[in-house]
Amino acid sequence: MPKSDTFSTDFDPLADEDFGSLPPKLATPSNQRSKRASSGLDDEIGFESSIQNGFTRRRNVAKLDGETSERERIRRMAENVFGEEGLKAPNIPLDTPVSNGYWGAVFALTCIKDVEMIVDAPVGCYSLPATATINYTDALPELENLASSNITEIEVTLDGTTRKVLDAVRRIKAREAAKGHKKQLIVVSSQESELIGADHVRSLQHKHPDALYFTSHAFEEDEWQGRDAALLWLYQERKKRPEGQKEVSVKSPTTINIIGPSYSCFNSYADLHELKRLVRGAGGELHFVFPFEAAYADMDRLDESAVNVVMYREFGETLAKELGKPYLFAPFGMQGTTKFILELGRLMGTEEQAKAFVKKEKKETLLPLWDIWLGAPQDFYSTCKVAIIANESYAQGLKQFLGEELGLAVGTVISRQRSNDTNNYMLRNHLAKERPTFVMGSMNERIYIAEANIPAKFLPASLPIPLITRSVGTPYMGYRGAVYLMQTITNALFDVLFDVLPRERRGTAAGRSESVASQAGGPPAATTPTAKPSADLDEVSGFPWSADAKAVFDQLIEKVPWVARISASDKLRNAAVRETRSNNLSEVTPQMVLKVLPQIMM
Amino acid sequence: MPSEELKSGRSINLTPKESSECSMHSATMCPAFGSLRVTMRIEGLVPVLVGAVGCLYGLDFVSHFYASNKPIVSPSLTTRELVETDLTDKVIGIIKEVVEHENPQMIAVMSLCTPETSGLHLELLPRKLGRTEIIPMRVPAYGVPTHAEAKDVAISQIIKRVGENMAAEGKTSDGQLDGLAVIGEVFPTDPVQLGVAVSRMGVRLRTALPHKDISAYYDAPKAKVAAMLHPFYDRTVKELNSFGVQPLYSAPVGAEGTYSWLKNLGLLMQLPNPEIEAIADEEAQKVADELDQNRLDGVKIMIAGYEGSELLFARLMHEAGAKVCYVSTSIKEGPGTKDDAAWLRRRNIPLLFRKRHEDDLEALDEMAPDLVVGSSNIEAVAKRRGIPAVYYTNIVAGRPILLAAGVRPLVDQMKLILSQLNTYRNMRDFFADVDDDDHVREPLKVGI
Repeated sequence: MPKSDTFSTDFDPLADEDFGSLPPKLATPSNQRSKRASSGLDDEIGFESSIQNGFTRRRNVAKLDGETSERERIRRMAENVFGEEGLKAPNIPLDTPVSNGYWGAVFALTCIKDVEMIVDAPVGCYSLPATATINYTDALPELENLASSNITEIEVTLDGTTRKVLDAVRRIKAREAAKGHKKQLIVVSSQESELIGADHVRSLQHKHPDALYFTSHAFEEDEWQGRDAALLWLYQERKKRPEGQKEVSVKSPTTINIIGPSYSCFNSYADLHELKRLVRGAGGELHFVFPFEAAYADMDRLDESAVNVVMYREFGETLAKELGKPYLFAPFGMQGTTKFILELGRLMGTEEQAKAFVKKEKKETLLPLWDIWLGAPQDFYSTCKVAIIANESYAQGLKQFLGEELGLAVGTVISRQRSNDTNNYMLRNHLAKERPTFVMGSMNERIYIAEANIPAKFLPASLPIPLITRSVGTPYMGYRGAVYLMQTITNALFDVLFDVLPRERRGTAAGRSESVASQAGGPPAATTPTAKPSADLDEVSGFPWSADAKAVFDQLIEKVPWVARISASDKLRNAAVRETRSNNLSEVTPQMVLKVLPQIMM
Repeated sequence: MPSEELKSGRSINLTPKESSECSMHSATMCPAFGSLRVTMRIEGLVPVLVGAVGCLYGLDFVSHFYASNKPIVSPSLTTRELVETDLTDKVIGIIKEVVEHENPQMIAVMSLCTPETSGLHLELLPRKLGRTEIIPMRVPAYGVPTHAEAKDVAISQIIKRVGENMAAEGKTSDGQLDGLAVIGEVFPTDPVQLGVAVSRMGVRLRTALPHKDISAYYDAPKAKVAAMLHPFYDRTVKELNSFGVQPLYSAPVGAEGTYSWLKNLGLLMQLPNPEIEAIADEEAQKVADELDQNRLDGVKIMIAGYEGSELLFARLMHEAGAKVCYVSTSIKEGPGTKDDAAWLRRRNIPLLFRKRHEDDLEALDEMAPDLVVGSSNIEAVAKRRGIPAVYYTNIVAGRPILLAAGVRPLVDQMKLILSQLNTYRNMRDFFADVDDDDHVREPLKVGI
């Protein structure tokens, strides 16, 4: 590969963060952001002058990543997760798992009820988040308060986007005024508008000073950073304006904000529902859920609460820090949630109520967890290998609950922050090799295990995936989340067992059972009818095996989850013996075992 | 810069609507999805999508849902590449690694808005590495305005390459063209039906594109006639034309459509007229018989999709007795739409190309249809009003529509939806107090 290492010394200093440890630094300090946001003032005129040979160059790029350091960083990430193997990671970025700052800003700000957003973007940047994916995550037909300047070639090469943005602002304002609605307009930059140097700070100040302009830093920031920055920015920006000048004080020691829930967050509806229940149970008075369920006009409420609960580790914390009140992250698991409730009680001065709530929850909400634990299915927990690939909150939360509290064998855990950091190409190889019992992740992992034809059960734990989670009955967080997850995992175990039990396909087994050939998932039993009448039990168990064949057999069976090993062994043994017989060999060889392997679901 | 491809998208952009207001709510999927949909379904092809992270995330999402379960190689642009010119080197480097580790038969490199703007030089990519063909496809949304047209980009680029290969190997047909190729994503048995019908005229159906086998693309340039079953394959027409393949537009949909399509095919194939006349008449009669049995008389139907095949569906609905009150599509008017557009206009059916979402909303207000077949957002608006509505892309596009076998399935489907009228109304009534007068939703709340 023609690498351009020479550039790295020129461009690296700002990119030289420590990416070796998880989680990477997330928060963008507010001063840095506002400096960046005001740096590009080349408006209408500035853009035209930036055309070179039909291409345009963005000049005001704040942060530069060296190619070498980027590649090195990805390798180091891969090494962290995959060990030695990770060092050999090919540089093939696969299946983007996390979006960028532009999407982050769109999802974080459009859920505010009196916001109208105009994105300065081409058609795809509008339709992908606003009418396509939102259908399959939040079940919304479209983001109704989102409009687009709809950048076309003429704006890219000649005109710039200012005219179209101002036109859209004017029309939205007229539309809302006609309805008598008071809305806050926010214009947001996209990757394309940033690339062509479109910046509307000055023109908006001039024509529509009431509208806000947010630079989403679409190239530099990932979706979480984008959400984090957008929430902080809106808070700070409002403070500078007349509507944000009021002195605000804390209402009472028990007022609580929840910060973070917004569109297109995995399972957020059920988790928010549970989080609210926990806050109230601990004696808190839920004051403001920001940005979800919030209004721009009500944002003073952010300062009125005594304690903030930050729903996700990925974003929202920077705003919580800015607010200057104590904050807690939303909890996972039985123990994690108990700690959260007691700590929240301590911060609010409602310790007794919090303790009483925990006690009551044990007898009610959490009782199924105790009962499942007492039962036989739990015996298999420690034999279940789990891979978790999710946003940091879920990756760490699931690891803690499933691994530390329930004792499942949690292996691969990947906290997704920056896009492509984890090297999906390696992950794809790794999952095929590791053969976990359960893979908790996104559509990407689901594809990887399907491609590799391994029988791992997939459980959703992260976007991207078409998965509507609007029901509040599927929480992963809190006490109810602990119960729901335990129930889900246990049912998945039953599924593993179902798949591996002998099954006879109707109509194919006239006379006697031919259990091996008739398994679902195996190929049609084309050879079976012509093969010799299969061995009865004694013939099978008495048939000789070479030592090597037995070794291969053992090695393969080791990879099968404990819960399924008996049936899998039976199937593999029978198939290997039958194959050997039909090849007229006197003993089972390793080749025979490997040959029949694909027929066996394991 | 891909002047040819960009020009074709430009016409609409430079022509303001009468109201002089541009669209603020797009009426198409991100265009690049079209090329992903075609390429991801080709076996032995690795798709490489170059763009900003947000674009890659969204396109990965929708194409893993709608196109195939195939991973997508997704090099994203970093800030550094915006100011330096080594983006091309980076993409080449990644392609080399893909070839080294996967050794695919073909790699399609699709470039989105941002690399197109910042100067990704697709023309500098190697044509071939080892056995792997590397095919560039430029699909910036500002230049290729719909995902339908991006399908055209994908197919035409592959045909261009296989044509060059055939020429280099001296394997072109030298004017000895034979048979029929059909272009357009249709129901799997539609080409089969078509093959049977044209075989009566002595015409062999060679291939149907898009196809999962790369070899099918090598077959298309050998056909005498290529039937553009969907109207937006202008680039593909141009490529095939360079081999002497003649395009046939429209499709055998409905009785009149079947008759004229088979007649036109006969003409292009230079077959004796009386025989063709007889066969065309007979096939059309079969369609007419089906249409007699499957009626939608008096149903007022609004068709507002973005797939580009809406005109054919409108013809079928009209012949089945429905009152088609509005047809809109996101593709542009062109040679491929000429016959169908004229046919619809002769029947005073309002027809709109390069529509805006706002146009559909206005039409919905004005027309008060019984049934809406449209994009997912217009569908939602209609359902809010208790009007039976479905998503064109899921329910109509790619379903059986050709010849006699193409009548009943879609008519039945429409009847089925209409039979649910009470369900749609009950739903609307139940949730009537949820939405305000403008049908604008209060933001979501998670109640407890």
